[in-house]
Amino acid sequence: MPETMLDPLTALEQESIYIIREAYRKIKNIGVLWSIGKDSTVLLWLIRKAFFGQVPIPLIHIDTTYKIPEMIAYRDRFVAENGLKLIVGKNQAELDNGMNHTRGRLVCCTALKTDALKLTVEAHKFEGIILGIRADEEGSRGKERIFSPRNYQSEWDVTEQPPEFWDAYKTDFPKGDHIRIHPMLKWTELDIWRYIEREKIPVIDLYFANNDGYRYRSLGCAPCTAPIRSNARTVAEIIEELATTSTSERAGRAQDQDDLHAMEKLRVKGYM
Amino acid sequence: MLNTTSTNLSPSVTQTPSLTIPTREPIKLVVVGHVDHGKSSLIGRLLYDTNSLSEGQLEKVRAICEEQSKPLELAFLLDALEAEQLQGITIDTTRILFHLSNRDVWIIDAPGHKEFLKNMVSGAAQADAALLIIDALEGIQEQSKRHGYLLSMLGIRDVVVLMNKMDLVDYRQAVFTALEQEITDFLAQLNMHPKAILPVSALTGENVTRTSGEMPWYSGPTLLDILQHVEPRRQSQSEVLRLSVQDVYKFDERRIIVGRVESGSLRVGDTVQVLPTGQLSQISGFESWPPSDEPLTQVFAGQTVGLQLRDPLFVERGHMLVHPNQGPHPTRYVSANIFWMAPAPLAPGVSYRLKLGTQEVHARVHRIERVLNASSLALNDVQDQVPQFETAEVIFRTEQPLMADPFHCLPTTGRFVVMHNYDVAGGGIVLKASNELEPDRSGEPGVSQSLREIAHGHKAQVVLLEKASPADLHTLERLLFQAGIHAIALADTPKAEPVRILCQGYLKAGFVVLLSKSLLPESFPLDALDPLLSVTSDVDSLHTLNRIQEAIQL
Repeated sequence: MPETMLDPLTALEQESIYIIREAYRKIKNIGVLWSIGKDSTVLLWLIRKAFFGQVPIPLIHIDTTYKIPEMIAYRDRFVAENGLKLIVGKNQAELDNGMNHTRGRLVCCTALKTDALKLTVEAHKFEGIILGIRADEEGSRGKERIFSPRNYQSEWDVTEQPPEFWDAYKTDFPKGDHIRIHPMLKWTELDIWRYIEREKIPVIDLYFANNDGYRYRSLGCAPCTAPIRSNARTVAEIIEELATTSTSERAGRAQDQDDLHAMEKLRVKGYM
Repeated sequence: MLNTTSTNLSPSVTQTPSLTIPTREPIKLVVVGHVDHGKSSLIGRLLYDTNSLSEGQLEKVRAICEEQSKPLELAFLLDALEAEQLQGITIDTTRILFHLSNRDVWIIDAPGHKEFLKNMVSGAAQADAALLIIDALEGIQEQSKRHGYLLSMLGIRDVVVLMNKMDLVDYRQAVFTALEQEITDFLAQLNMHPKAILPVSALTGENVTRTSGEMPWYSGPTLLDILQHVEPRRQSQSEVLRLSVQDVYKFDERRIIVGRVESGSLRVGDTVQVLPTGQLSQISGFESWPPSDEPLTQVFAGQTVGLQLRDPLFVERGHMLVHPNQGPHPTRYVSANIFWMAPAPLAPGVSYRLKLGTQEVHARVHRIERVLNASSLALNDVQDQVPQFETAEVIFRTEQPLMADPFHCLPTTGRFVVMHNYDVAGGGIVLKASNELEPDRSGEPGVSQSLREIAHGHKAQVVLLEKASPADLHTLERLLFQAGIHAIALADTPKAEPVRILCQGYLKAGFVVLLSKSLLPESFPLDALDPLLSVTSDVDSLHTLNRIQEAIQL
C-alpha cells in the first residue's frame, strides 16, 4: 500500500480492490465465497467496484441445508435480481448419511462446510477462492496471509506460511494446489458496518433487531447460531452498539466454543 | 511520526471526545526483538490494561492456561496457534487491534526466532512505527540487531526501544543506562535514532501503561503516552506521479486501463507518458461504479483507478504511467540493498524474477558488491553469494526493461521482491536504477554511442519525414525536446555530403536527427543511415511523436 492521505475506510476499500484485481489477473480460475453474511456482502460490493459493476467471478455458496431459512430466501432473490452466477456447493453424500450437529459440531462443520468446499473446488477446478474473512474475528484468522496457499487437500500449513510484504503476493504455486485470497483481512467488524452505512449497501434483515429485542451479529447454521439481545434496528444503531460491547463477534457461534482451538483445527483442514 | 518533545502528553483536547469510537486514523505498530525478550507478553499487557479484550478472548486464554496448568499467560492472546502455545514461542506474525481513548492501534507481533525471519519481515513491512524490545538481563542479542537493521531497510524510521524485564535487574538505573548507550550507538550506525528509550516491565506493567514507582530515576513518558502520539507513515508524500498498470478490462465497448496511483496525483486531461514505450496520450476520463452525478476528475496516491486514454495505445500490465519527462528511465541494471530469506543462497548464474509493483522481470545477479552481517554490521567484500538471513548490496541485470526509483525518493516504486521458483526469496530497496551501471563493452576510446544512448534513455536514430517544411521540422524538434528526447532538426543544409557528416556526428553523440525528404538533394545516401521513414507530414500530432518514441526505445 502506498503512503496515502485517503481516509481510513477509503484506504481499506482501495487496498481490497487492488487485491481483488490481482487475484482476477494472476489466478486462472477463481470463485468467490458468498455466505450471505455482512462481510462477504461487502466483498461482493467491492468486486462490483473493482470491475465497474460487473461480477466476472462466480459466487459460491456452501449450503449445509441447515442455514437460517431467511438466508436461503435472501440468497435466491439477490442472485436473481442482480443476474449473478451462483454455484451452490453441498456434501450430498454426508447429507444423505444424515449428518447434523448432534454428531459433534466440529465433525458436522468439517463434513458440511470444509468438505463441501473441497468438493466444490475440485468439481469446478478452482485455483483460487476469494473469502471475506477478517483478522479481528478470532486468533487463527489473525495469523492469515492475504494470499494464503492451500495444498492439494486444501490444508493450511500455519507454521510455514510464505512471506508477504510490499503487495508482492504469492500468486505462483505448484499445479494442484489452490490459493485462498483474503482481500478484507485488515477490516474490523466496525469498519464493515461503517462502510455499509457510507455506501448504503443492502444487507439481510437478520442483522437488525426484531420485535422481541434480538438480532444476529454473525450468521451461520440455525442449530449452531444464536442471536444476541439488542435493540439496534438500523445500521447506525448497530455501530453505536458495537462501540460499547465487550462480547466477541462470534460468541453466538457454537462451533467456536466446542474446543479451545476449534477454529484453528477447522481451518487447518480447509475451513473458511 | 512521533511527537514526544511536546510537553502535553495527554490526548489532544481538540479531538471530538468519544469514548470508544476512534476518530483518528488507526496506526500499525510492529513489535520486534530477540526471542524471549517479551514481545508477546508486552502486547498482552497493553491489551489487558487498556480493556481491549472481549470477554471471550480473555476467557479462552484463561481456559487454555488452566488446561496446561500455567499461570495466566497474556502472550497467548497473540500466540493463538496451538503449536505456538505448546512451545511457548511466536511462530507467525499476528495482527491484533487495541483501543486507545481516541484511536485504534493495530499491533503486529513479530517472531524473534531467526528461522521465522520471513514472518518478521511480513509483519514489520506493514508498520508505521516499531517497538524494539530488549531484555535488560540478557542485553542486546543477535536478533535485536538484525531486526534493527531490517527496520532501517524497510524504511521504518519511528522506533521506540523498550528495555524490558527491569524487575529482573532490580530496576537499577546503571543497567538501563549502559544498554541505552549500546543500542543508541548501534542504531546510529544505521542512521536510526530512536524516538524514545524506556525502562519497562511487561510483567508488572511499569512504564507500559502506568508510571513506575520502582524507577523514580526515570521521568519520561510511559509507552501508552507515546502511542497516543504516533502518526501514520506519510512524511514523504511525493508530488511525482507514478501509476502502475494492473490490467486492461474490456467488459463492454469501453477499454479501461486499471492500476494504482503509487505516488502523486492525476487529473482528467493530463498528458501522460506510458513507460517503457515512451508513448504519449491524454487522460480522457476515469471510470467508477456505482455511477455518480459527480464523476471523478482527480485521483491521488493510494487510489486504484480505471482510466481511458484519448489514443488507442498499447498498454499492458507492468507498464507505468507518468507525467511526460518525469518518469524513471527504463533500465536493465538496478543496484539494491537486499535481504535474503531463502535457504538456498542468492548466487550468480541463477535465474530470478524481480517483482516491483505490477512489474515482473527476469533477472540475474550481475555483481555482488558486498555482503553484510546484519547483526554485527561486519562487511565482507569478497563473498560471491548471499547466505540466508544476511543482507547485501547487489547489482541485478534484468532481461526486460524495469522502471524503478531510488527508494529514498519514492518508496513504493523503489522496492521489490526477488522470486525464486514459486517463492519470495528476498526483498530489496533500490539504490540506483540506471543503465550507467552497465559495463562499456564497445572497446571504443572515450564515450561510445551506446553509452550515450543509455545516458539519454533512447536510441540514436535518423527520422525522415516525407514533405516537412523547415518550420515543421523545428516544431517536431521542440516537441521531442519537451518530451526529454535529444533531437535536432537539419533543415537548412542543401548539400549531401555535409548533411551526411552531420548525421553521423549526431548519431555518435546519441541524437535523434530529423530530416525532410523534400529538403534533401536526390543524391543523398539515405539507406546508409537506416532512417525511420515517416509518411505523415502532420508533425505536431501525438501520433508522430508516439511513432518516433516507439522506434527509439532502448
